Amino acid sequence: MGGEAVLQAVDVSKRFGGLTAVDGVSLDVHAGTLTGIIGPNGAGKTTLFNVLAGFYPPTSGRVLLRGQDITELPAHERSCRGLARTFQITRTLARLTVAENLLLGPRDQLGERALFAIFARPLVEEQEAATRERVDETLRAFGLDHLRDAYAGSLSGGQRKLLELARALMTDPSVVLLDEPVAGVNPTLARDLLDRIDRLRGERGITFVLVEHDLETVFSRCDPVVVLAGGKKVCEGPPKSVQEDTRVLEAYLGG
Amino acid sequence: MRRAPRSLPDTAAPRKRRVPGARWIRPVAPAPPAAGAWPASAAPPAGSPPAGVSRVADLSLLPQLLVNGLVIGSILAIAGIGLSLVYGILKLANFAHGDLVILGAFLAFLFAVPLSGALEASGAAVGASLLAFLLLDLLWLKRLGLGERLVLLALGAPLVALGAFLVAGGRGGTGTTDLVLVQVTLLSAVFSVAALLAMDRLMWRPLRRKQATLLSLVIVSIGVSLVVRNGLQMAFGTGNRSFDRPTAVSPEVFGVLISEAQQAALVATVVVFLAVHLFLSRTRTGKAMRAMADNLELARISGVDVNREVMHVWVLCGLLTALSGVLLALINNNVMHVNMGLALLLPLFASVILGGIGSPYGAMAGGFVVGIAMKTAGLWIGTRYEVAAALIVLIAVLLLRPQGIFGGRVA
Amino acid sequence: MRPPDAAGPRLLAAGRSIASGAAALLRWPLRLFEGREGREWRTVVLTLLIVFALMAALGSVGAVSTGVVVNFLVGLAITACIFSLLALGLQVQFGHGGILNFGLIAFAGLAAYVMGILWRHAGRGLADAIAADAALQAAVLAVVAAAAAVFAAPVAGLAVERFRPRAPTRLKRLAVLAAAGAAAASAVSLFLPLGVTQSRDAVILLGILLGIGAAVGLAFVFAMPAIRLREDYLAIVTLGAAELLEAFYRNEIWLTGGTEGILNLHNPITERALSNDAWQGFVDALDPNLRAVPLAQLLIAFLLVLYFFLLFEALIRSPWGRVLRAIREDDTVASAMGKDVNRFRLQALVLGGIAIAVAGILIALRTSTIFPGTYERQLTFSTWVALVVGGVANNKGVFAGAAIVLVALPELARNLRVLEEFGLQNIVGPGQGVAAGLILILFMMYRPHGLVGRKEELLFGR
Repeated sequence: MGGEAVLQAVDVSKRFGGLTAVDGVSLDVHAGTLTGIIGPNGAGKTTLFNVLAGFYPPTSGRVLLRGQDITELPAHERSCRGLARTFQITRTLARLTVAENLLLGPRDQLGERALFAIFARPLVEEQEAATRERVDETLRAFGLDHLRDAYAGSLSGGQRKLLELARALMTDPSVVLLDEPVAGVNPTLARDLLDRIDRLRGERGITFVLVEHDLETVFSRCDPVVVLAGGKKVCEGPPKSVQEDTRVLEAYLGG
Repeated sequence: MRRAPRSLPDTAAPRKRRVPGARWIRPVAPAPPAAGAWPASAAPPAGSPPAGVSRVADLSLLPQLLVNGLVIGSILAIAGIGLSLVYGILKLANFAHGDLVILGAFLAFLFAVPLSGALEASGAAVGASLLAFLLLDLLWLKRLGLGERLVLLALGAPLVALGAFLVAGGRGGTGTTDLVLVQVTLLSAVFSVAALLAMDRLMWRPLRRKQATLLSLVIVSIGVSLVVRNGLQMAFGTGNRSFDRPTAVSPEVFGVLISEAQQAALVATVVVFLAVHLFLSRTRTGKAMRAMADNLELARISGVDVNREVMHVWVLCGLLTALSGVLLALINNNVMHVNMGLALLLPLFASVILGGIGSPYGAMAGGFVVGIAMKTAGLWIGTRYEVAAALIVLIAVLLLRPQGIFGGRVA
Repeated sequence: MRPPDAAGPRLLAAGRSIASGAAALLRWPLRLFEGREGREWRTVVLTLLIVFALMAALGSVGAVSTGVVVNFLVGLAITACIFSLLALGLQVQFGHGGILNFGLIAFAGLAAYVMGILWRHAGRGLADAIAADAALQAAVLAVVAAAAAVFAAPVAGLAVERFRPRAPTRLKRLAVLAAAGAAAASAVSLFLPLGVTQSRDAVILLGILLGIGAAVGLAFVFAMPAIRLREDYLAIVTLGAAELLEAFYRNEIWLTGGTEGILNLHNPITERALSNDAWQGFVDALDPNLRAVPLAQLLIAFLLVLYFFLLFEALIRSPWGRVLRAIREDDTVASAMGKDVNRFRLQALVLGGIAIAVAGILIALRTSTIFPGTYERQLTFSTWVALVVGGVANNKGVFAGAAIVLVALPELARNLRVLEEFGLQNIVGPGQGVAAGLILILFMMYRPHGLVGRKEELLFGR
């Protein structure tokens, strides 16, 4: 743990009309960690998440990725810089195959540029072949290779969760934001997902941030844990100290 | 417009009057407008710069143009209410709306032809009032039993007919007199409503049940537009048709020329505004409509019978399109042409979006703004490009405030 | 005893292999029709055959000779090709790019008018100047060569990938460059020597390039609202823009000739077909009744629509096409995966716009005239109906859709003129419109995925 802060929220606030969803939250996420963000309903977790992911701009404050200010950048630009996200309700691209879902991931695909696709076909095919190999590897690693050519819309719930994660990984991220990754998922699969996340942290040094309701998961796997309530950060720290912090209890019970 | 018909000279020769700007009055029958041409370029209403000539802004014309703008704005306002409600409540961007307006005009024309003459007029009064009572029933009266309804009709209709006959009877008049005009407008309204209700039952309701997207509804409405417009063309031809009325005479009021038809349009708008306002604020149906425009699901949960109210929306829509269609023809020197509907479409949408989708008040305000913008812009860009003004207003609204003036939700 | 007849079995073996080869050859076209793609092709081809047969039957009624029927069919085929191209462009913009364009006729008209205006105001003068000045000639030939190379490169790339996919990339690139060079050379040779006629051809070619450029520019202008607006708003704005352009063509008489239009466009295809004896001979040999000029036009129109079809099919299967499909599925996810949704939509708009522009130019060149009335809203709506009938997001569907709505329907309407005796005025135009509207409504209600679209409709309940 430790090392430089790869993702930072600096005094981020988000107001919707009269409602302040996030109020002056500052957060430093360090490389290689698995940070868990928890809090009661309406605490602003999802809003903060979406601000970090770039789906709406904050009313005030900044977001920094590896020291660079990305506050003004739209979502797709953030992805290009190595910030990936998953969705709570899995959003598979139903009418594309599983393989195609993953093939979308890698950045800098020449074939995605219209001019190249039209005029430099051989070059595109060459790169595509390499990309396909990478996709096959990932599919094998996730145990989805038998579903390679199935339509993503035909996958079961658990398979979709795996696909979400695999797809995020294909973009070569340095930071992955996970939106309730184990919500409504059976314990075996949940464990599988979390084990994979741990492995990815260790092998590839990817940093993970997750928003979760399942406190057991968070306290057993995450370090640090951040607690939000009423839009403000209530406390932050290693799971043990957060668990014992009375403010956290108040936040959940009082509100 | 509700005056008893005067004895008019038989010919349509207008009285030439010594007024400033008199040279702009063109009494001859206008040439058929090019497909899609805005009505004004077919027969410029009393007092307007010659089409497409003056690039130098002649500001002395401004008051006249403002009035013309208000007049056309009133048409847009009346027609826009229906469009706005349908758009807001049913999520249907009705690309056929302009054609429905002109359908109203042509239906009136269709009935006007045989109805000239006092005797026939009174006879039609019976029929029209019968139908009008049915409409009333649909909208306001509680569910009466069939017997009660028939009694009501049996008593009320002859009374109305008698009244009409007393007013009109004996006093001859050829052509489409004011009285006939009122009656054919009513008839047109009734048939327009019937057509819209049929369309809802056959098309819109099944599509709603299939949860069709905004886009599919737009495309279907394009189909409707094609059918209505081309159907009218098949029935009435590609040329101009006109009500058999004398050419507009434009008395001067405070330095601007306003024909009687234009005055009628303005008065009608005020009446419609009051009626719609009362309807929306006092009646149960009206309040239900406002609730549905605001939040359909909430309204449904609050006990609004959505299917019935949707029917009412179409009824209101039909009444307004028929009225605005007839008025449109009237201010256009009694001339109508099948492509006028399509030419209206952009200004109508501009008005509705400017005012805020789902808000009838917004539609009215928007209508006036767009109407005035179009006519006054004509000073600089020429009357042939008036549509550009509507487009500019639309784009400005979409860029700056997509929810419109009265719209609450973000687009 | 005589030795076993070795020739016999060998002959038999040879015969067998020839037979199996022939069988394979025969089966090959049938294999095209297998599978899902194959079924869709079957539908399209069947539709085309039915329409063709119907038109032939209609044309035969009261025809003096088979020549008349054949020429009639050739004319219809030209119409079918041009309108298929138009619908194909719209397909790319809407079916693939998700952009609702109700002003497509503005693209077609703009390209045609730019070419026409260039010809009308500067054409002959420019042609004479070119024929006289060597430097200008060089410049023109350079442009021709470049255009030909750009045009040929994609097809060459596709061909290389199709027939030699495993060749090393360097060789493939070389092959593409060689093909482009060959195309450039042959294009230039068509224009040499640069006499007056060829100069006029060159001017028209310049006009075409400028027209396409204008359409691309218009696509950029359209893109600004297109990516920001909700679909229904976009429909309204594009409709308004088209209306505005139409008014412009009609009113700016000094530039466009107003309702009188631009006449006597120089048509390189016509000129070449008339002057080229080899072509005349070839056509005569095929059928003495065939007219050389329309057949030449058909050839060009067909080649162009084939070109764009192959190009767009290849594009939709490329990574670029994959992103576009992803955007159509869920643009939020596409964004989250780093794709600049707006840029891709813009590209779809531009590419579709180019196809539409070329179609517009073909319409103009076919009659060598440009009238504002040709590029009016009715055509936009009809093309949309063709798109829905064929099937959204499926390129081959446009052929079926265009054949039905833009070829068969007008012809049928023309033949029902007899109904005018029943008091119905002027059946042809509006009758077609009513039919088109009804077809659109029926399809949207009962078969929104069109004839060949996939059942997973684009348009319903997302």
